[in-house]
Amino acid sequence: MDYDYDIIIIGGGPAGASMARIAAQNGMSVMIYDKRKELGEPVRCGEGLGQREVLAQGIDLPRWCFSTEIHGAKVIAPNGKSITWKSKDTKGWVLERKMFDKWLVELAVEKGAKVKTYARVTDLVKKDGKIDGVMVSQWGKEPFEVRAPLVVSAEGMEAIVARKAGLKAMSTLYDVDTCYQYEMKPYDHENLIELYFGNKIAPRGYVWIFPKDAKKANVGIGIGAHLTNWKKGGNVDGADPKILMDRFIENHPQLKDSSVLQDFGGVISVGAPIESFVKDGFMCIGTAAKQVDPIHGGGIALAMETGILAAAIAKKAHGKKDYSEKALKEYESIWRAGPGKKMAKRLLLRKVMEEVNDDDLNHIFNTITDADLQKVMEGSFAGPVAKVVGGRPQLLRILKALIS
Amino acid sequence: METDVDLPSFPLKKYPNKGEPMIEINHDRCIQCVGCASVCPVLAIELVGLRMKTYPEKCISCKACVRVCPADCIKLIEKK
Repeated sequence: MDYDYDIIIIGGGPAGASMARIAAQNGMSVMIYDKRKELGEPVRCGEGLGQREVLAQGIDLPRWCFSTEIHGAKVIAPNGKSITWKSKDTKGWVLERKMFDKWLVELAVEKGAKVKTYARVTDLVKKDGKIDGVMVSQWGKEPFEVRAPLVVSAEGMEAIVARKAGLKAMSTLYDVDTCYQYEMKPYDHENLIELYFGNKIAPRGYVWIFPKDAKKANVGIGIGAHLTNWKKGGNVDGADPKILMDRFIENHPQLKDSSVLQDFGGVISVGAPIESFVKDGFMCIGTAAKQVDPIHGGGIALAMETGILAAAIAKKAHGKKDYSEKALKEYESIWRAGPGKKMAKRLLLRKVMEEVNDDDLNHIFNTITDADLQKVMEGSFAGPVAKVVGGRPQLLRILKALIS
Repeated sequence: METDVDLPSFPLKKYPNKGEPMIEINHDRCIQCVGCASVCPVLAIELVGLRMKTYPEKCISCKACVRVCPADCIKLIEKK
């Protein structure tokens, strides 16, 4: 068979690049197509990454890939009361997503993977009903065919090719959060992630302030997409992320005098992963498969983990020359038994969170102290829970889930 | 705050395709976050090059894109 590559990966984000790195290391020929003209641009996320995840990958994050280290979190209730959890150790990083994405792809290239940016995969090529390659559209050329026995969708939220492959990868409004973000300066911070809650501030979501170096901050809001108001036809007031964001900044003692260096935003899945990740000769990984934490909307760590898992299964398939759905299904079953289980629990927790009103939140924050939060973070619920009058332990679990 | 909007509930036949452009994207305000493309049930929006491109013939006017757009740059074209 005259295939051009062993694997074609659509999208050069954390999922695609991680898979390409391991697959190339395993001796497979890999091609990544990315439709953007620059990898990692435009940034569409809050850029937070927990430490454990990267260390588990066996790679060290170089200094130029992150902006600053995170030493804890501060959660602020609707009534303004806050609790803080602080650690001496680094608990995570606020990334420079542009640099980070590019660096991950560079690692893959060093192992022998190939990459082409500004090349859009427009459709799948099928032979005898089986996926056999892709059509690529590139500037200055007629769309052309590239063939490989395995096509991997690591496209992120749109999942257009995954949907064309027949996977149910569409997001419904209820299961996505719509986010608007600013990079702002100056902002004096203590290397803490700040999260603001309240149905007036951010309905079914939160406002985050992620610290960055040189007194900068990534300030963003995410709200339930089904709560936005479209009735005025694209000129709305009410629950619109940008309007709520601006309102928050106007009322913030420090940020109201800060400058905006960049506008960005995005849409992220906070729902369940898609029903099926594989087809004959086709895999769907990362955010394209909606493998995103349903509580904080973070997907980088999961994407990298999944990329590595998918590469291992691809190697097996390559060895046996069997790229059938049945062979690739192993990736799905391992995923669902591992990260999938944790995600299902957190999805349940998200549904609980939706029931929490501002009154409940104020109640919790009025009752528990920083020391209590410390205990919760260490896994000891008994003491703090007893303190919460009326005893609503599920509310404390939410706190832990949010900042861990 | 308005939360009484009707979800673009499926089945899709509720919104028949008349082949007319139903939405307009203000490219000056668009931040290419591809949120609209992510929720479009019929793949009528896509990022092509540096711009979002719409395929009016596919549009079923379910308004999902209008509602999800964080930059508030998609406008419904009002029917006469």
